[in-house]
Amino acid sequence: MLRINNLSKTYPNGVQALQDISLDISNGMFGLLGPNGAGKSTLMRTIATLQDADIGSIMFGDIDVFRQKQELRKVLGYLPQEFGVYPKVSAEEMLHYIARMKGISNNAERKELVKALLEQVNLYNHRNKYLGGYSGGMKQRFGIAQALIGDPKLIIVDEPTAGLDPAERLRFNNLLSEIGENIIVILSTHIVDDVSELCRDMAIIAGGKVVQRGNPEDLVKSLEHKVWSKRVEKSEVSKYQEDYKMVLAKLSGGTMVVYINSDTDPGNGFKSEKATLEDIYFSNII
Amino acid sequence: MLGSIFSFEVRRLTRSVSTYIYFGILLLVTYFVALLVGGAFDTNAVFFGEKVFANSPIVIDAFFSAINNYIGLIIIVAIIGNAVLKDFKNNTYTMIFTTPVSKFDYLFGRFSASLFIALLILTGPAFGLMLGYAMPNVNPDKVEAFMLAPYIHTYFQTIVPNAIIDGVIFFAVSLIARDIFVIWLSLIIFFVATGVSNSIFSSLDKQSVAALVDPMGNFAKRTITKYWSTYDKNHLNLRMQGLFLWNRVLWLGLSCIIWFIGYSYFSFTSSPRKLFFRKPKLADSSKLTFIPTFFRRESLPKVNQAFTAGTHLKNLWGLCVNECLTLWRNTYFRIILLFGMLFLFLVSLQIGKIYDTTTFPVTYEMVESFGGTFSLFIVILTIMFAGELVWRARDYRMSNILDAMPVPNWVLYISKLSGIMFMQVILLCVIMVCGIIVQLFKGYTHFEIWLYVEYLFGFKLLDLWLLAILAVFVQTLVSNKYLGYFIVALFYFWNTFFAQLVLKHNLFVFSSDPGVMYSAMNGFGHAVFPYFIYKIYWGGFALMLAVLSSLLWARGSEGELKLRFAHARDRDNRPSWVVLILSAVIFIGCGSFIYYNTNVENKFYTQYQQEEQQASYEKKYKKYEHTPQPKITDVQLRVDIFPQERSLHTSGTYMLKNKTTHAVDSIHVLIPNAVTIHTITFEQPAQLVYNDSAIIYRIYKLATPLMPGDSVGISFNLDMNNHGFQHDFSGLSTPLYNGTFVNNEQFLPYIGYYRGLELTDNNRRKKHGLGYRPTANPITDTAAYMDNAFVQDADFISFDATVSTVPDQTAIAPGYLQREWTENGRHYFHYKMDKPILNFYSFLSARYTTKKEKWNNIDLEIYYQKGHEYNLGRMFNGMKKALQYYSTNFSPYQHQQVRILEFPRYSTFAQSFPNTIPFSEGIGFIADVDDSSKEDIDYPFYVTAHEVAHQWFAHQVIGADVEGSNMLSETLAQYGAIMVMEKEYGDDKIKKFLHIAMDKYLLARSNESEKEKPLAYVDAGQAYILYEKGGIMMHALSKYLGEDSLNIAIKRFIDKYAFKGAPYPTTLDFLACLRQVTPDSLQYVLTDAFQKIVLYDNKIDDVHLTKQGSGYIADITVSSKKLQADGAGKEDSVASNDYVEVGIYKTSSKMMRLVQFKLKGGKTVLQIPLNEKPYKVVIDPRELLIDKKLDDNEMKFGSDDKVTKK
Repeated sequence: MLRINNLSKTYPNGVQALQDISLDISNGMFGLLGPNGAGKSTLMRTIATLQDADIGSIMFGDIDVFRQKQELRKVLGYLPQEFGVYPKVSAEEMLHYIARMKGISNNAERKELVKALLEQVNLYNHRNKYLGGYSGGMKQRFGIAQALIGDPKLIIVDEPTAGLDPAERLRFNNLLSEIGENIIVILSTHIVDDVSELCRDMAIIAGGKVVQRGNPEDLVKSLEHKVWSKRVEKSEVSKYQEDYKMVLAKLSGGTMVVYINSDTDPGNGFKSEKATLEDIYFSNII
Repeated sequence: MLGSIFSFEVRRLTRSVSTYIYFGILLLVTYFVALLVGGAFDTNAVFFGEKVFANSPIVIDAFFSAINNYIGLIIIVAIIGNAVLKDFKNNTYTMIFTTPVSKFDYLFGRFSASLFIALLILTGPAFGLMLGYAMPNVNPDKVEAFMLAPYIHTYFQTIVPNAIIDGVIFFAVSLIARDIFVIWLSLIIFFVATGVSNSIFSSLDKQSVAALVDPMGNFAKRTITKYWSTYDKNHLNLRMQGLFLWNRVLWLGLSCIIWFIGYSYFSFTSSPRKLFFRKPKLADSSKLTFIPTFFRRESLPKVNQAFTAGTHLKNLWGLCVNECLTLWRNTYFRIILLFGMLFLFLVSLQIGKIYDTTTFPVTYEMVESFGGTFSLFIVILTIMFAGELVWRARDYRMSNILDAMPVPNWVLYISKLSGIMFMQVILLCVIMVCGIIVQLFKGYTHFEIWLYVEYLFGFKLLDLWLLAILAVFVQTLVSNKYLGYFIVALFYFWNTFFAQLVLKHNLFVFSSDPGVMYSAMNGFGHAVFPYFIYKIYWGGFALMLAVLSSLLWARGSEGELKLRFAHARDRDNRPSWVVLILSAVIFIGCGSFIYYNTNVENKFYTQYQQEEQQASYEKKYKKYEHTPQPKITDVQLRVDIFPQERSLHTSGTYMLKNKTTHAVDSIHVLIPNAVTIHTITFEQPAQLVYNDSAIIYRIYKLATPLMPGDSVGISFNLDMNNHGFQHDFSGLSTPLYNGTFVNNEQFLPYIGYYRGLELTDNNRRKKHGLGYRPTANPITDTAAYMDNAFVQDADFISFDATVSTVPDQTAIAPGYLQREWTENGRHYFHYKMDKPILNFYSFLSARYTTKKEKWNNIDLEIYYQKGHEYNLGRMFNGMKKALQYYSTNFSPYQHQQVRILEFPRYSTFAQSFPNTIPFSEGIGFIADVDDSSKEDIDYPFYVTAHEVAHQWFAHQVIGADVEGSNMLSETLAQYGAIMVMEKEYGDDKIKKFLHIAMDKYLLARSNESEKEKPLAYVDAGQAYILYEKGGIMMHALSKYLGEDSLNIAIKRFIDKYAFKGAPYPTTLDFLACLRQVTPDSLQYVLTDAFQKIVLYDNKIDDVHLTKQGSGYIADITVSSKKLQADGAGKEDSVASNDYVEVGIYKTSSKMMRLVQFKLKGGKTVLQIPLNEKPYKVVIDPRELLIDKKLDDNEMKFGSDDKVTKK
């Protein structure tokens, strides 16, 4: 159980990245959805011991993350949002290097583990190639492989699919889908589909605050019959914004479609839409 | 377009803080330099000569350009190298490359704008200097009135062209490579390449090449200023002319070409053209997409994770190996390695050159010369790779992963550090391997691998490791890698060049030690223990830095130091704090121990304090200078040398005779500082009435005054003990484990006030409240004729000494061995001299091997270090030829023996004592003279001949204690050696020798600290006049007067004054002997040579050859100018009508005709009929005259078609 209590963080430039965030996260894959700049990465990095908060605490089991960074690191697997690789090091060597850092000192064991990992993430054929030559998807798969070294109890995967092409993203999500058994996996993303595909528990974070929390399906259910859409001219969008609780306006075939939230049928040509997680997302971050 | 790019870039740079920081750094560094040169600190930092003003044009030029050539260059690279590169770093290139801006506008706009700003920044040193010189605490004697012109000249002649050249080179590199690392790498290569080319072209005959090749123009400027006298330096501005102008033109031209190469190489594309082969990105096979693969954690093998200290250590090893491998794989590192090896092989050509003659590649020479030249290389790499490794994870954005790993900071820290240390080891191995290769190549197989290991990995490596720890520490703290580089480089610069000057004690100079010098005789000797104590001291300091680095290791995104400090106080870090405290204890403990040794057990004086002591001595006791004192007539000594303890015990008796006309009632005894007194007693009752225990000046009052002609014995019992270690490596000043060489001045009593202890430098005297002091007694001071120039407390003495040492060593003193025996585990030698000698003798003790030969019943012996057999033959030959020449031409040799005794190379000289010549292992024993080479000079032979000559000139005839007298020993000894060499090796070698002497003389005279004196009035310290000018002049006289006439004059001089005692002769007496043998027409030659400072500017203006019959007529237009200089170096041309030789050469080196002309000043056309077709004509081919510009002294005759036929 990961328990985040009243976490707040203000950056020196005055940006309030986290505002009184409290979350309890239990085993399984937990989705953390939020737009760019919502504070997801700050939260992830804070959990991953790379950053401190001003106020609040994070407890993982009985590890106090701020006080016992080293203890948490022993059970942590972390795939950061943005990471580079040493260009002239092969995947195999790098995994060995990281495995060493994770306290696996027995050479034979480490060798076996690295081999197994490379096979699992389908990089075994490229194990001797320099990381500098890896494509984005391969790099992310390498990333997840390294995060899984040392049987972590807490895995943090920060925006892993950003920048991947659809095929790579699919492959990556497949990989991710089953590692969440019996441990906590926190997947932060701004791609709604990632969460709906992978997570059974989630939170939406916006402006440094948790704005929604729950099971994706329950959340979707809560919006059932409350989402309405209408095709309008571009010039009309602002008028609708004033009149309704507008969630989203998007282009579709040259004109705009506006989506609004309403418990009752708003009339005026609006038709009911099937609620999706995307709607939850958008209705919460605005 | 160009305009707007330019102004945008200029605006951007003027808003950048770094621009001002760069300016500030340049200003501060030079401000500090100005204070230093201006004498604001109590250190005597002399640049370009004592009398040269700190703000004279040449000094301003030197520092203004030097600071900009090094620190400024780094700034140029940072600004101009980044002018285009930053677009790639920030990815703004995508926007720029897609605008319609033309490539030229973009590149030239960026380049010119950054160059413009760089040029503004590079004015910083000028302001720093101006500010420094204007400070009230600079010495007003060192600074003249402010002049703007020198700054302007230097700025436009040197700074601007150099900035353009540097800027273009590194701009082009940035366009081609588009990699900041390559730019910095090329900077190193640039530094090293200019260094190498300068050292290769350093010899005298390659000066023009050196001047052109050096892109910074330093050597070109040197060709102009090299022989500038003090007067010139203070008054002349450096003008763009001759080679300097050509250098500028050449390099600016080259820059244009380089710029366009870079320009045409660059294209508006995202990736640079391929410098190296690049592999395309890997791609997944497409079928993978449609086969879902799931990650099954449970199928991963189970492994053991442990986080104990043991596993940390085990993993640390793996991580270290990893760092080292990474480094090893670094392409740049390999390029540097190759480059470094090439560099070393080039350096090896110059090994140990003395008189253009190399030494054998003995191991210590290899290590010292390689280690010395290569160490800057290693230092730069250390600084660079410290930044690379510390910042690597962050630079490659890998830190996000690695920082969250469960490894303690110290493991990360040590793994990085070990990478750098590994690199240093590799580089030292390169030195070793290259050293052995060079030795092999030169056919030298005595490798002494262990010495390589000791020197490189025992001594050198420690310093490098300390630097590595420091560099990593700085990189840990700073928020930017380049800032880190800059801080470390600046610190290194300060620490190497200025820290000692400003902070005085080496306890405050990072990574300091008292110094180490290897000697084949004495090994590393007594330097080892203090060296390691110092290194432990600095090791303690470095360990503190290491612990702090590890505690403050940047991890995660909390980069602020305050936060890192907060974390450093975490409970987990307690062990680190314990280590920190322990290392502080080591640091303070060793520091105290060092302080105890250097300042309590031994005396530590800063230069100022040392001078103060001299001043106080003079103030207190100068009044006794002319107090009548008896002179030593008889010396009986017992000297016990204890090599292991490095101490010496002596007891003995002097017989003192009152040679004055006054009764002497008290005797003044001066004891050298390093000595402790047990007893001093007199033959008759005497009372110690005055005792200065600091300076050890004692006055004894005799119960009954010593009447004129009477004698009294003084007996003494003294110790020279070695206590702990001193602030600086003491070299020869105390007994050594093997190779002790001490003389009586170092440890025996002196009778009366000794003038030689006075502070001589008149600038410093002023600081200590002392009046002006002439450098020597005036030649007219007839009272001083009663003392000789060497030692004033005796004339000639009888000498008897028993010397003891350890059983396996031989102890030697002047005199003949009477008896040798062993007693109580000591080896005794009793020496007795059969003739009176000067009161100047030495004691040596070492494990010697001996080689003996005989010449005309005279025993010739060389006592040498086993292994140094190389040049014994040359030395024996030198002794024989010298004895032959001198005893034939001057007078008989007074002893039956000549002994050469090798001593450690802590000093490199040879010195003549009666029948005893201590000879440093550094000047001749390992010389590799190639007799077939035109270049090589057999200097073991030369030095031997010179020292043997001193048995005549010094030990037979010695001058009075007045100016000029040293000429009677040094110049005449030099003359003897030149004649012996000329007989042995011929005219060409002598010409080469004199050519080097000419250069040395002209160079040294331009750095004269007091005033240049004519040869006859020369001071003891003016070696360049005594040896170089003296040698040239005496050689010239042997041609003008004839060798025989000259030798007759010398013979008469010896006959008249040898062994006569007081009154002693002066150079005027010698000159009188010379004048006797000189025809009236040549008297002016003597006056010019001895009593004036005369130089010539002779040159050949034009030659023309006319065929006449079977022969030719050469019309040669020569111009001659005679200059007379004053002591300050101001030269005025004077009328002349002097003999000048003109030589006609058949080939470039073979002279066919030598004609003497009497030339007036100005142009003269000479006609010389010739039988054969000549090759060239040289004015003054034998270099009989001092000529500042020798390269215009010759001219080739044109080819056949230019010959006019009649």
